[in-house]
Amino acid sequence: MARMKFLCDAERCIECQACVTACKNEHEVPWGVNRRRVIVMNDGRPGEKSISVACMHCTDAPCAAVCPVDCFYTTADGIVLHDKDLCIGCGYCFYACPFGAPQYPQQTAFGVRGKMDKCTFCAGGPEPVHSQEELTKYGTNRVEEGKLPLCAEMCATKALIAGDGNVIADIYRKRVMTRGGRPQTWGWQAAYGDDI
Amino acid sequence: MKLTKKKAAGAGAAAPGLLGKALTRRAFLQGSGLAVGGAAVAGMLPTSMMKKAKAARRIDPDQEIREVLTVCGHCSVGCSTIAEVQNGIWVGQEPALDSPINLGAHCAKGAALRNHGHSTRRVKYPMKKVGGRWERISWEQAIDEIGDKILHIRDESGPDSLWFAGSSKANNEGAYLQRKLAAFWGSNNCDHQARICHSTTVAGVANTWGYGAQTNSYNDILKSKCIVMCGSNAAEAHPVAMQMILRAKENGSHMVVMDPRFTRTAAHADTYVRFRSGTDVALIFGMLYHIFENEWEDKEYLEQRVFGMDRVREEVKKWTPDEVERVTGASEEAVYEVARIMAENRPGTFVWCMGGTQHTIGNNYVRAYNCLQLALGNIGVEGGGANIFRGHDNVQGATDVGPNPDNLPGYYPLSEGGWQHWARVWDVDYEWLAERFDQEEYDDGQNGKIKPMNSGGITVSRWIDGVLEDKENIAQRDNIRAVMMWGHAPNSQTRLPEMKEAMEKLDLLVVIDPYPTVSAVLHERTDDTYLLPAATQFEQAGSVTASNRSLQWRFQVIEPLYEHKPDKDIAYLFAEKFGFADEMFKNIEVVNKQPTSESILREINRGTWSIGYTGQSPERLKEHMENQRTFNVASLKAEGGPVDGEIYCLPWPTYGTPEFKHPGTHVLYDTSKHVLDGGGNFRANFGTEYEGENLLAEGSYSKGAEIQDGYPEFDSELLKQLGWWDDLTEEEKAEADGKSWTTDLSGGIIRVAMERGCHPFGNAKARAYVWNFPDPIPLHREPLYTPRYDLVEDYPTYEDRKVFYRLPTRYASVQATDYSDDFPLIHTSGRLVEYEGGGEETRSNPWLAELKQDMFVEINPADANDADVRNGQMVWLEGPEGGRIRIKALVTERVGRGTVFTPFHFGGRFQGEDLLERYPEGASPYVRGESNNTATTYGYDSVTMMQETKTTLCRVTPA
Amino acid sequence: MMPKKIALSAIAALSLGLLAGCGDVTLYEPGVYKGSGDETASEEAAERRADALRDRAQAAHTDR
Ligand code: SF4
Ligand code: SF4
Ligand code: SF4
Repeated sequence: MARMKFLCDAERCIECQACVTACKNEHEVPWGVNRRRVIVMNDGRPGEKSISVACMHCTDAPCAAVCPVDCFYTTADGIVLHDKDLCIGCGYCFYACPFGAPQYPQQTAFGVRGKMDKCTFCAGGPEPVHSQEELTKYGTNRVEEGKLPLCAEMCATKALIAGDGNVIADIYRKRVMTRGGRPQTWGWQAAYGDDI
Repeated sequence: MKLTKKKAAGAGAAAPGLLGKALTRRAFLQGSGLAVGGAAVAGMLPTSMMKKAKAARRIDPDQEIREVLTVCGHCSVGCSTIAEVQNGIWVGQEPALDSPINLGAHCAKGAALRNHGHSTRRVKYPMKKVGGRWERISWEQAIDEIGDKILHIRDESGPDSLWFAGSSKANNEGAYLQRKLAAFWGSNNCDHQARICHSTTVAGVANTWGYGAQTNSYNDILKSKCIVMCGSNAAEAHPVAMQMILRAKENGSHMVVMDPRFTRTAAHADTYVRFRSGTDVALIFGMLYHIFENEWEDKEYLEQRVFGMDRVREEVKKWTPDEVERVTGASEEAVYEVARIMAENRPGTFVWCMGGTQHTIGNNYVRAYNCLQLALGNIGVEGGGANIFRGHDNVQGATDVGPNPDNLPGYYPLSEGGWQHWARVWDVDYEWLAERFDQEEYDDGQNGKIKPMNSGGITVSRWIDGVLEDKENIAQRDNIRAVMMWGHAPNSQTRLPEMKEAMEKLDLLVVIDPYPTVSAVLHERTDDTYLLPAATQFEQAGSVTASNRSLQWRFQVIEPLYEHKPDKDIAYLFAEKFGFADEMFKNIEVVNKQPTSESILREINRGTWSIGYTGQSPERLKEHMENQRTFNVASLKAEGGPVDGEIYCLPWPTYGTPEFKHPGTHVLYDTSKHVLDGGGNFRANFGTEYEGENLLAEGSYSKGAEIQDGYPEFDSELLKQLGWWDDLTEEEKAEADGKSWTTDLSGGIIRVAMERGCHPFGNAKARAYVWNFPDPIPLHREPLYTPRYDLVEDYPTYEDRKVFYRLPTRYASVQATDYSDDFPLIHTSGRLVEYEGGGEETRSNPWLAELKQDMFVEINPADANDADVRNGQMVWLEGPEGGRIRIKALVTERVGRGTVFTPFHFGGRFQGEDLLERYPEGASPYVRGESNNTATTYGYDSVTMMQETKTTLCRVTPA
Repeated sequence: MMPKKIALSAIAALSLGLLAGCGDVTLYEPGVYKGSGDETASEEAAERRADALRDRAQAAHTDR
């Protein structure tokens, strides 16, 4: 069974933000909500590295474990999704998530949190496939069309890759071999455990 | 273009039950007309955006979706993308995985393109200012009023009183018509972005070895063993180029970045060298010093293919490691190390961008880079080259065939010969054309007189002086009185306070653009100011020339929104109003006052022999686009398929007629290939000898050439001398007699020369010594505003010039004052990945605008402490000519001590004031900020009038 | 075939029904998904698209 994963290659990421705007474009994510972000370490100094981060679709997702209304589920190929009709915007998942993926749009002028929004691996949500409801609440469903996350498909340098864990590990391994360097699989251990 | 439906993966093989179920459910939901999403969407929005909230787009999964292959409109990499269109609405964007240029990849801008399909922050219909307020008018009224006003000004002040900026964002067809419009109007007063981007490159490389363009390609970098980037921040300016660069690096190529700023590109380099902004000649000659000292130069190559390197060698001797360090700040070890890396890793490529061009001696920088690459034998080889990354998506094309003040399409000169050639192509009487121009003669700046038809027009960097300068000092009949900014941001030009004054002095200001741009708001004009909505790139079809010289066909995605019109249609309307549409469009197909792109390109094909824009018929280009997947990524050559053996999108030169089937040229001047296979050599454009020295190549020639030595360029006489005349057909003979390869409209001379394995432009040496330039050997000269005034005595700038591109131009008189005490910091500028150019279009795209909401200045911690400035604080940045901007401080080691950096994409604020209310309603960009060019200063390149934006001075104080 | 969590919740629902039959007892099963079903979350759906997604990963992410 295929297991969907993300991998961001810090040696290739150039902080160009294509992954971020591709996501905005694909799902029309509103201003202020970012399903994906680019994190920079050592900004402006030697050793500067960047990494693109969104929900990593963890095995045994910590967000799901803490959700008081149990709105998370995992697809058979490992994509962590949630039901916005159930979500109460409590914010627990944000604290549980090692990657800071969950986002809470402000709902009112008084700052009450809205329903949580996060990366769906471009796989929609618990609404009929390609329905207007799915599109409006969760965004498009590329996975069901046989396509991968747009953020990864449009990455400027193919730093961000997504798909069946075996395939992307292979692609990445080849790269590391050519480079002759140390692998930089940022976040893999935290997300998927030791079994990479 | 193809039609698809949203479908499930593997639908063909899938169990119909499952799919069937999905369809029924969808049908049910449609039937029940639910709008469940509404509340949820509103819930997702921050309050600030509530009012702007629109429901997510609708995509009907059961209706057909049209897939249109198009090309990104934001930079010269030329990334393809697939637009999904349903019912005329651009509903989705998919990666073009088949494109050999980007393999589906984009940067932030390219991945946000779909916003162009529904952006609302535009000029929606023609408008004019009446008593200080914007009013809507019709296109008819607009063209009528503007036309009458311009014609009236022409009556009073002659044709040169109109100046207009055309556009590097127009496609080749639009840009070509802009140049043709100026020609038929009777003036050379038109220009575009190339002037302030790579004009020094174009002039520098063309005068060195032949053509003013990138010699290799982004893809070819895959073959480089060493990549040196100087004044190029590709990670932000050409992000998808980094795909190839990083792949090359992974394959063992050594990546070097030399830049005053530790850029995001530098973060990936194996070796980074920081040096003082404005000292590239010293740095490069410092490297050449070690190369000559260690005899690393390619002696055979220099003997066979390069003229004048011995003269350069004399100058290089002066650049001892100590002197290099004194001037540039780079240590002997660092400079030696880069020289060694380049010497040991050949072929190596040298990349430069604005950091190397935007200087008062930009042409010297460019030629210093050229000398370095020539010394190492790196030009004309795969994996080598001068990889000049151009800026805008079609700046190369607009330079080749567009609105240039100093030449005609194809770089034909403004001399009578050049005009005669185009008059023949256009099928108009040369005398008639000549009479359209002002017939007086003016100072040519070289103790002679010249007619405006033959003298270079006023450049985009200086149009403000054409307005403000005393009439007596300008080498044309009157000041510029009317200006059209046709696809050009004003805030990318220096000296904005003076520009404001110039705009206010004009009789007429017309802005033609999808967006209002800073031109609509910088000034306080109340009348005689017009906004005309031009269509975006995605609302018209045409060819665009990427940096690597490939002409991609950009298919039209959607119909123009609102009342927008493509550039070519606007050109037609003006020509009609001015009364020469019949002549100008004589051989161009016009349907409903809309010239067709295909027929315009065919006219370009018929005339542009000099640079091989002749083989790229619309049919061939479209066929290449449709077969993208057949091209090899490293060689860009099709392997099998219908265009087997041709290079992707026929990079110019693609010599001869389309039927001649030249495959296009991937790597310029490459002698290892036959000319019919894209091979070549350096161009013979400067005679056959200079001061008794032979300028033709010696013992070097392209593969299979029948003349196995240097030879001059071809004309009918040479063919006769060689006994090749009878290779021509009778028709060709009739046309070719008395013509050269560039003016023979039959293409026969080119055909015969190439079939004999010879290059039509001859086979000569590259010139390391360019005797027709102010500094034949590139020299270091201190910037006009230098922080090192102590060096001015040794490295002074030029004398002032009385007439240069029709205007007095100051050098020494500016440098005469030492500003470095009051303005101690170097002010340099550049790009951000999220925005482009003047930035109005990208700042009007919410997906991009959200990512960079503040204008800022990068300042080193030490300088920040000296100025008592904290990170994130508002500061005043002030230039020595008085312009000042109120912006945020970003304290970072990215810039060295003594240098600050600002991005140039912001606009909509001016010296602390918000200009929001001057925008037409609903057309202001999401993000506004101070333009850095409010604080930049005077200074222009001595060959091309390039503005100095990379090295000036400033001071920073808390606001 | 249903994904594990949904399958579990079905069992839970089933046992809830059984218990309910015995009297007025409410049962809350923590950690079990409570939302609406997603037809694309199932093993079948995942299997159906797996090949296409593998091909797509090769096409989109390898350095051609
Ligand atoms: S698109 Fe790729 S290179 Fe650019 S920021 Fe995202 S992960 Fe990094
Ligand atoms: S996978 Fe899709 S939803 Fe997630 S960050 Fe990427 S584009 Fe956004
Ligand atoms: S701006 Fe340039 S690099 Fe970015 S997507 Fe467009 S063409 Fe590609």
